[in-house]
Amino acid sequence: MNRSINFFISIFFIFLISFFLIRLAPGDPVLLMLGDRGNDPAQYRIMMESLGLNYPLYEQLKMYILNIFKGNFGNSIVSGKSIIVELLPRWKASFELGLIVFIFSFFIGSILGIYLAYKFNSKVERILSSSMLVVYCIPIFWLGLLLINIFSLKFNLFPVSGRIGYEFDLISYTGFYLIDSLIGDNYKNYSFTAFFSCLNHMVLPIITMSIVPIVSIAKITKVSILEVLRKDYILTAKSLGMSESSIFFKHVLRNILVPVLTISSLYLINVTVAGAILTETIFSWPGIGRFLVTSVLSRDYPVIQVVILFIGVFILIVNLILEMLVKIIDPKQRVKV
Amino acid sequence: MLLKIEELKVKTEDIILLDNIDLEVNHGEIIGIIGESGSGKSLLAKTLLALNSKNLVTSFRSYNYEDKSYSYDEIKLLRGKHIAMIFQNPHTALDPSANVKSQLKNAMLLNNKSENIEHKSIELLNEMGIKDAERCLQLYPHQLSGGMAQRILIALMLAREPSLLIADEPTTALDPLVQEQILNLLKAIVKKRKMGLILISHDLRVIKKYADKTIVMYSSQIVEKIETQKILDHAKHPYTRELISIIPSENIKYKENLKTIKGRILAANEYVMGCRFSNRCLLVEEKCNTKVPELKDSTYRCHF
Amino acid sequence: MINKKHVFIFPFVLLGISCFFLDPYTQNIDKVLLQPGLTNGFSYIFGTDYIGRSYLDRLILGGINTIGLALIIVFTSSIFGFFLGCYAAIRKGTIESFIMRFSDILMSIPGILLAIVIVAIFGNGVIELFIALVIVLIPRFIRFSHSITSRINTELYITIAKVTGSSKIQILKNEILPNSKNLLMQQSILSFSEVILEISALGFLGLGIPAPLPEWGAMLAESRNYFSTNPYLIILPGLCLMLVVLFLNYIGENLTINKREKNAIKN
Repeated sequence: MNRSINFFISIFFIFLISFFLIRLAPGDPVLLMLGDRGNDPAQYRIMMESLGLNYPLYEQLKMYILNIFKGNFGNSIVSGKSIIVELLPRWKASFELGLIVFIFSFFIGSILGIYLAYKFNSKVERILSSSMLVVYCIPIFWLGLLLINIFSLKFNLFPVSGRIGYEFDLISYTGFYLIDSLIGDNYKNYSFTAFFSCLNHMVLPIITMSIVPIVSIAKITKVSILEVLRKDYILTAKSLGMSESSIFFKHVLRNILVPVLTISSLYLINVTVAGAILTETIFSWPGIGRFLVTSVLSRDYPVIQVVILFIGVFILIVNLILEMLVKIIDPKQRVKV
Repeated sequence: MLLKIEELKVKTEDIILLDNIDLEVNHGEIIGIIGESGSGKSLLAKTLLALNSKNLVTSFRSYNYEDKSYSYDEIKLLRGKHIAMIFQNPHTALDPSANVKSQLKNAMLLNNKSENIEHKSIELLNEMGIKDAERCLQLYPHQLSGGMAQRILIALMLAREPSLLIADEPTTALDPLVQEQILNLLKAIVKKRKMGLILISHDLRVIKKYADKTIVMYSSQIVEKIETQKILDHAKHPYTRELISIIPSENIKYKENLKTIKGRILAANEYVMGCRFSNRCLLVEEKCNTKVPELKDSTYRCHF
Repeated sequence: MINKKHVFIFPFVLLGISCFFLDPYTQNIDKVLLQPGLTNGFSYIFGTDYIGRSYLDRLILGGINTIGLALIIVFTSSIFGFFLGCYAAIRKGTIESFIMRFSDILMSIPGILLAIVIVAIFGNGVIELFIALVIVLIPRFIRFSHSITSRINTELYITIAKVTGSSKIQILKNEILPNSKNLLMQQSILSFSEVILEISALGFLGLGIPAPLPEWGAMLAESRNYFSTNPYLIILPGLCLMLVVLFLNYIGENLTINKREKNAIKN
């Protein structure tokens, strides 16, 4: 109950931020929204009406929220097109990349963490842990630049930018290239080559975005496992004669699931969004992060408003889903005493 | 003969934690081990099942279970199926994320018998004196009372039908009424199944009431071995005699001070030449500080 | 411990002094894209960038800009955040829940995103950057001091202090501060490295410290295209960033490893 209230307050807060964006920025909000077209008095009046600047603040807020729910997001100053049309394919591009990074980092990170926990204090573990400390400090944008320059430009192993090779003309079924390249006419025309081109384009961005999360998740997993291994019930299981692997699957795994999942997934969401903004810029990945950066640089206020709203609401929804998932998984919360 | 150990020693790099322990348990017998914190009794329990952490070095002259000799690495084959152990705090000893049913099931599956697990679990719980066994199976450890949890821990340990049970302070964390119930239960089970029980406690009253034979430990050594019946009148070691004398009588008077043994037990890194009880012993003399007393007639370790 | 703690001020002092001898803004067209080496004078030991500015000078001053700004940000956020958190925990009630809810919302938004939003609203500049990152950082300190204060509040000795009549401020000084000093230091140092990365990330995107002020992230972005001819242009600023962050993280982690953990690790 408390959680839902928090959720709605936060969503409202995001709406507020994007609402106040143009009203707080220095300058005339109408001109900010219109850009060059603001010189035309007719356009000026239309925008002023739609912003409702004559009305009191709460009326404006109501109009703004109603507009959003009607699906009217406005047009970009830079391209003139409807924002929602520009946004959707970019969001799908980011989501495709982000989802893979999320799953990849979690998977590799937790396996690494398990390995480190069971080999704790051995030479391998100590070397790995120290190098992980160093890797954690590598700035993600530097890593991306280095990867591009070494593997794309120098060795020509991977492409420099984009989601898929120029030679492919993909028909968009879902908007997710990995799926689209395998269905319908796309598959007929290109067979698996489009799919592999797509994967090829993803390799470097995925590595750039996952390295730091992998290290963090490995550390969280390792620490949780070590803590559980010190508990009495592990001793109980051992004195029953259970093998180490049985103990791991039947006792350790269930007890680290909750803390590791909560901490990692909430962490991953934040890191993925932040990382996406930087990585998409470096690799020219046509995603929502790069969209945000370019629109801030070009003062495209209508777009900035919508993108912030979108990303903010997305993060809140994901956080909520994750918290609810945790509640279901945690046995202590499931059964009332 | 169920278990016989000769000259068991445990040490870290330079500190001796268990010094020349000899132990013997027979079927249907309850051996009580009494000692205060720091005497090494819990370590002994863990060592018997080779559950020590990796930095401790264990050595012995012989470790014989049911007339078969085992090396240190082979001891782990005995765990659960032949020798089981229950601990002091039942709540932490049970996996908080699994209910009773699945924990019992995991234990029984180790015996490679997968039929009738639920039926056998209920039978086992009934034997523990748990009346509402069916409902109990669904519960999680945090929903159990102390006594219930300890019964379930015992049930868990008996699931593989071992012949020897080691109970390390099984009732210290429980309130007195439940303590007696659990101890009576343990005694009944052990006698019925002709198992051996090593009962470890710091409370002499418990040992006196339930154990057939008593072993007194102090500063990682055995200082006395005696049949429990004879302990009140025939105890020879000064420490044992002090322990007996400090038991508050049931007719203790109002405002009468409880007796204690003066001084404190030596920590493992403080062991001196000579008898380790010498700093607290009332009979102390010159020779106590120079020579470590040997175990006389395998019954007590004192110069007198 | 005295020597260890004071050692890390030394590089900063060195940087500070050396900046009097440097001039990162002079453009020498004839010296564009020089390779690193001693031939053109000590100033050009790291070569020059694409306009002909001495890279060594730019690196050092970029460092001062980045690190100095980060220092001020962390300092401000930690002090304000700490006291806000204590205040919230002591006052309780609606004020507390308002402050805590507010900081929770702020914390759930990734730092860079929040900073970009604020820069989007108020524009590109050092002051705006400062405000943005302070807003990003403050919730962490609020959370931190709030949890410590709440915990201490419930403990017995505070009740005793209240009963004996100490005022709230005295309680703050005598009980809360000494207990939280070390942890606060650790949190500040770790946030310090985080802020340095964020400043340079924003600089990389072009949304941070405005040109032509040198800044490591911005220098990385400028040198993107020159990797094949002058790789040091990309390697050096990134390396500096990594080393500084590594250094800070190392100090931050080691501040609170106590003996118990070391023994636990041994076993």
